[in-house]
Amino acid sequence: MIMLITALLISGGASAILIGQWSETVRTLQQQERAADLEDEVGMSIAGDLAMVNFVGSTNTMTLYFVNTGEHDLNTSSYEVLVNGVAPNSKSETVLPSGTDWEPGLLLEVELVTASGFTDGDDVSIYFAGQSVVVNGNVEPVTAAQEVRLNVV
Amino acid sequence: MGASVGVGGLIVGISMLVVFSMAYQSITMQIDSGLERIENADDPIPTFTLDDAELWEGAVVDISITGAGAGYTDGTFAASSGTGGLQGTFTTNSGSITSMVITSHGNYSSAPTLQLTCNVACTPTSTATFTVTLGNVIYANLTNTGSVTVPHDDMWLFVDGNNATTFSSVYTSSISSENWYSGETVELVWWNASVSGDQRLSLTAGPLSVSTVLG
Repeated sequence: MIMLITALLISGGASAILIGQWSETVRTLQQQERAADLEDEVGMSIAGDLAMVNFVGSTNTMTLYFVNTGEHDLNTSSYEVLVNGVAPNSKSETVLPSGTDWEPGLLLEVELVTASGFTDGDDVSIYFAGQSVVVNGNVEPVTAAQEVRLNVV
Repeated sequence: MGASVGVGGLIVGISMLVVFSMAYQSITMQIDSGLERIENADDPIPTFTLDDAELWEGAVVDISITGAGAGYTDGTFAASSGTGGLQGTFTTNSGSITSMVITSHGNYSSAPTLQLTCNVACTPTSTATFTVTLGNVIYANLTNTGSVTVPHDDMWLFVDGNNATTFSSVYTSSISSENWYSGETVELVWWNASVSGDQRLSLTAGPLSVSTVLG
């Protein structure tokens, strides 16, 4: 009888530990799965005419367009654009055709004031680093790198 | 003693079954996740071509009626001279012209004079007058060469890298479709497009952007 009760106690304790660990494992797996799914569902790309990126020489202002190619909104307040690896002096953005949320399929028009000027026909490297909005507790980074040609006006 | 051993064995057996069940679920979950990622990775992206694109900078984009005239019946109109290609129809009410509809914008170096032809013989007692406005029209044929159906709202047009415009705002499908299906060629007539400089047309759909010089 004593052995039976002892066996039950040990078994019960082991089961409790096992179930606790299992729950933790399941939570971790689900979290990883959601993160992996989100990685596949978030995307962004540079849009427009890559051979004619508008650059106003008098104000060093460059206009770039980025399209949300994913399935979730992207964050318009937390991103950075580098031109030839250099951060601009300032940047501003507008969601097109309208609104403030950068939804799938919509454009983000970004105006950069660069530190240095460029000449017509210059090829420059654009690097965009941003992130999605919070989806199921996860945030997924998005990046894009592209060489473009400037059209100085 | 025997009963205790039996019960102990039962407990151990059930515990092992639970462990096997958990392991099975874990493996199944991992496989499902992996398969889903593989399926997502296989999602094709839109592919398309700009078959041709022309810019007519002297297209008739508007005809306003400054004098409605009298003695007309419904009919058609064209330019009185030249081969610019302007065509359209007009409607009347009690002999006065009430609307002008352009069916072919044409291409002119200066605003043409209109020649009206009534569908039923008419003798105007007062000649109608018009103001003809020239502007830009871009004609382009676009073909969806991929396997993805692209909503018109997700297609973006650019002229000289600027003026980002949704395709749906400048294109009207003759069958009221809002999608660009695989293998479909659409004829874009984008009039009053703001054009300057080198005059290139670009289309972005998904991660793909394609550009061409306007002829």
